[in-house]
Parts: sequence; structure tokens; C-alpha cells
Amino acid sequence: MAKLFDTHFTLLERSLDFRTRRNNLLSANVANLETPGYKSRDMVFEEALGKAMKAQQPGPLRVTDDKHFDGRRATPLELVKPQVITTASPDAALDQNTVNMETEMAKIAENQVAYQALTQIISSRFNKLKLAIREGDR
Amino acid sequence: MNFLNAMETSSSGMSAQRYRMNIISSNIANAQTTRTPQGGPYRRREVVFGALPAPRTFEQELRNRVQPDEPLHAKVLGVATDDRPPVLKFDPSHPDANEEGYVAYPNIDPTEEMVNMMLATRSYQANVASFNATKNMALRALEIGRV
Repeated sequence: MAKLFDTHFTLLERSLDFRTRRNNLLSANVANLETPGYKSRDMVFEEALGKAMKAQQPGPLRVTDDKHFDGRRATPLELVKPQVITTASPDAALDQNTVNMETEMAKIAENQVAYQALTQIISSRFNKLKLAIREGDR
Repeated sequence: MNFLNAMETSSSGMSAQRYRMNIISSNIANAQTTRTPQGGPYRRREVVFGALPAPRTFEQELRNRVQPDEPLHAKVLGVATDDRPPVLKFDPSHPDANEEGYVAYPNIDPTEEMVNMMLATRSYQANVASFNATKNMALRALEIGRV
């Protein structure tokens, strides 16, 4: 039987968390638009998330007890952390500041849209659960 | 909460630009000032920006750990005085004229100040835009689960 809140739910939750963190970082980039020597930063999540998703499958070693290791050596989905990267910038200013306003604003907009999409997906899942609960009441 | 961090970062950028605007205004206002409390003509001033980590919370202090994704606030580290020499104009009737009849005026280029002012305005607007983006995200989060 499927669980009420399955892996998919955790995935959505982690993605929301990632979008919030990334927004923090991008806001800091815009705030430091004219700070000499400031290096623009960004966050990537897809790789770590992909690894964690793969870790849902059973590992190479056979386990006969809950306390056994199965040789996966992967972070569980709940603990996956996004990776902070310094954005490569070919056109750094003379003061070594690498923030590009257009790029940052585009990233903020993209991040915002992705966040909205995620909240809508989560909302619709809640609504479906609600529907299932309500229909059983008839 | 996480959203408040982003909002604080944006507002640090806004207040830094506002500070800069004050300094630019004082440069323009004193373009012809020949007397200052320090003596001599007004000297052009400029702000120095620096990226500083946000004030740490009690929890962070307790763990004594700096997160790699810690957002850096934009801060005005200080105000530097421009040491370019004053512009000398011949005006013997001026009370501040020297023995040869020259008056030292501040070396302020209106074009330069206007360009800096535009930059400060645009940076401020960029911060407002990212602030609004954060606000919209927070509002969306409140809508989760609402029918």
C-alpha cells in the first residue's frame, strides 16, 4: 500500500527548501552589486538530488536486518544539501566584482516561478488527498 | 525564518545605496562651497562598500559554524575623501581669494555625480525587485493547502 506522504512529497519539500536558500543567495548577490571584490554565488541541487533519488533503490549488498548496511553510501533524501558554487564570469569588472545584474534578476525570476510551480503541485496533492477523504464520507 | 534572511539582505543593499545617495547629494550641494569647518574648499566624498556576513543568531553563535551558503550583507564600510586638487578660479573680489586673486573651488564634476546617482537609483531598484520576489514566494508558501 502506498504511504500517505511518500518520497515524492519529501522530494517536493526538499526542492522548496532549495528554492528558498537559493533566493537568499541571489538576493545577497543583488545587494552586493557594487561591492568591490564580491564574487557572485549560486546554488546547484540537481546532482545531489539525483544521487539521493537513486539511493532509494536497494544497494549492492544483501541485508537481512534493519541495522545492516547495504553498501549504498548515499545521503538520505531528507538530508540532501544543495551545493554552493561561485559563478564563473568572463566579464568581471575592474574591481573584481562578478555580479551581473541581468543574470541575477533572471535567476531570481526563474527561481520564483519554480517556487510557485512547486507550491501549486503540493497544493494539488493536498487537494487530492482531501478529495479522497471527503468522498469516503458519503 | 529563512525568508526574512533574504529580505534583510535586500534591505542591507537598499540602505547602503541610500547612504551613497546622501553622500552624492552632499557632493552636488557643495559644488561651490569654499569654506568648511576643516578649512579650505569642500572635498568630494565617496562611499566604500563591503560584503559582510549577516549578524549571527544565537543558535549560529552557539554552534560556532559559518554556513557556506551564508548570505553576505552589503554594508558601507566608510566614507573616503577624494584628494584630487581643488579647481582655481581667478576672482580677486571673492573673500576667500588668495594673494594672487585665485579662489579654490571643489573639484566636482556634475556629470560624474549624476552618473553615480543613476547607478545608486538602479541598484536600489534591483534590490526592491528581489525583495518583492522574496515576498511573493513567502505569500505563495502561505497558499499551500488552501482550497
